[in-house]
Amino acid sequence: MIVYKFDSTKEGLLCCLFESFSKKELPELVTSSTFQEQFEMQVKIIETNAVNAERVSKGLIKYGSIALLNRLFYALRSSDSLSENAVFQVAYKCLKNRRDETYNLTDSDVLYFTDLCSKINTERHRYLGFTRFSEAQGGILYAHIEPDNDIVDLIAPHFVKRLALRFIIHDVVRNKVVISDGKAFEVFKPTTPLVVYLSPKEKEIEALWQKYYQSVNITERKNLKQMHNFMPRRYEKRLVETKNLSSPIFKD
Amino acid sequence: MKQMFEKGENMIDQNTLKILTDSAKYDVSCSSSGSERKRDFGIGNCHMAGICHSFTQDGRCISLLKILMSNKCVYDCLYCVNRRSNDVPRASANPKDLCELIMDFYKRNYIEGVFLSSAVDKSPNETMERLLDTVIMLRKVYGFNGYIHLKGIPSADRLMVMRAASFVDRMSFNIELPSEKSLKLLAPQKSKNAIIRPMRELSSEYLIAKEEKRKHFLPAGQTTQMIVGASDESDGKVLKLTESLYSFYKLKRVYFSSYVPTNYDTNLLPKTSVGLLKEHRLYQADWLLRFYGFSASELISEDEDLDPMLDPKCAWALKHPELFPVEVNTAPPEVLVRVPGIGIKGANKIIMARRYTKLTLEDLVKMRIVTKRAIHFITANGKFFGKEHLPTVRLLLSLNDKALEPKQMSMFSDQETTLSLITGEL
Ligand code: SF4
Repeated sequence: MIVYKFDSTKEGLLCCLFESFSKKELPELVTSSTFQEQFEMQVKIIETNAVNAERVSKGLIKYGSIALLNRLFYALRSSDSLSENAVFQVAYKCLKNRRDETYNLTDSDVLYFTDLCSKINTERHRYLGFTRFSEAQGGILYAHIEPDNDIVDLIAPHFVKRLALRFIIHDVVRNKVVISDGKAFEVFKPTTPLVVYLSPKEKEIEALWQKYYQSVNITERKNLKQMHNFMPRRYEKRLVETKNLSSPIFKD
Repeated sequence: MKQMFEKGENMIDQNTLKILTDSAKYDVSCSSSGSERKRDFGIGNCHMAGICHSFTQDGRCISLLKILMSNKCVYDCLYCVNRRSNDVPRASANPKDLCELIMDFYKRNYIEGVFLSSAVDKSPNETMERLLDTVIMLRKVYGFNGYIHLKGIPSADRLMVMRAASFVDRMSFNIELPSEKSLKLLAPQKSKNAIIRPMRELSSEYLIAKEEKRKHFLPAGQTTQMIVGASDESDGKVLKLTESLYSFYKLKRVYFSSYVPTNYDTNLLPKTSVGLLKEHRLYQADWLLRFYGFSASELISEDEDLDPMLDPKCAWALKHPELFPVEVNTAPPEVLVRVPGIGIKGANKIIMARRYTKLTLEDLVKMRIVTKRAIHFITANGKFFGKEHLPTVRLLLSLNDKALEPKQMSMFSDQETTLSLITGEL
């Protein structure tokens, strides 16, 4: 069983494809994470090399399109441990069959891949709604999120357009921060913990929102299963309206 | 400390908020989609695909702050909690406080915008004027570009209505009840004309605005809402009315709201609610009108009710055995979407995948197309896997209808947000 290990970059993944085609071999697993090596595994460390990466990406654009390349990279935002492998396998098929295979929905690799994409998409869309800002002293808006996938820079443009105010969104899982002056945004990894002092008004607004949340609920039609379908429980602790509700109404 | 206190004075207090939002929640038009508003100055924009910011414990999407300016009413509609003769706590808010609240919620990304409505406080014109003041203040003073859905007040001055329409994204005059007779009986101060006239005027003004490229005139169009289960109109009649509202007044959506008894001191209204199944079937039929190219008369005749045991597409397909089965590898898109269980999303998947290979039933399952209902109406690569005996098919379809599982009922209380309907899968 051949396993390719690479450096987790997009270029690295493209180099895995290069290796595979030049050695005429198909690895069974392509990954950048550490794993338990097993006896029957033949692990190859793939070096990243800009020239080879470029050749592969040109090939993908030729047989598919720029959009295909972007779609493939998009799936790398997934936290699924096999996402890199899925992207590799689909890209391999595109190169081999010289066409865009990403719509070949009866193929199980493609299916796995499209699932990853739709999960990322769903989460991105959810966070357009589920991101909650608090006003910090000085007026800057601050939000912390805990996404499964690496989406913080995907939601940032929406808030730049919408708010036109200074804001920070902090992905606390990856310690990745988006900061915006209301016109553009930048992404960085903070080296020291972020400290935010909330404005005194914040508590009152939160209380009003909680009140509203309770008031729009139609108790006779309670259906928590449905609620959690749309808003899975993992989001609750960071939402103003649900974070303090440890009361029995939130038990299924 | 002093500063905080002063801030607090300008804010709507919790009790007022509760009173003003308590009854607005039954208004079902939660959606904020369909408007694309760009920012020239100030804050906010509108997003084409609706965004849900939270979900209630009954599983409905929260996208807008739904609030009344006032629940003090001079009218006496029999079905309404806020009618004059009811003894309920009353409150009203002033435009400035409301604007502050909306801005504070919007900035924190709690909401996509506001659904502003009001009871008839003093008179229709005075009420409409306060609503108008508020939306103008929001747009002009606060620079708010988020979504505004404004409820129109029947019998209010035409010019005020038109002016309001050039500031908001969507307006709705509610039909309230499916016939003039019921309206007379249950909402004596409202007349059919007072509701239909502004609807008609807005829709013709909308066309003119489009010609003149005034893109700020109701970019998300008009909607309306009617209560079902409070009066005795058949589903066929309701659907026919719905269809004509779409074609004559170009409404974007017609909402149905299941009657919930709140006033028990009258014999003109049922004492119990009809339940959500009726509403749900109507929404399914409405979906078929809007997205699948069905006409009301194809689905049901005017004096009939929809079959509660079957979704309307299944019911239609059973009435037309001569059209089925269809071959998934060759059927055109408009035929595929008419197959029970295959929605627009499913049809798209099929169309994409059949370019690569001849699809078998296994392939469909792999692609996660729900085939339970579809198998009786399709062949896959020439093979038929369903049942031919119609009564058996009928029974099987009914057994696989999620709406009939008791636990599922409230999931359909707001169609805009149930995923199955976002994708149009019926
Ligand atoms: S006008 Fe009728 S429906 Fe509206 S608040 Fe007054 S009583 Fe209720």
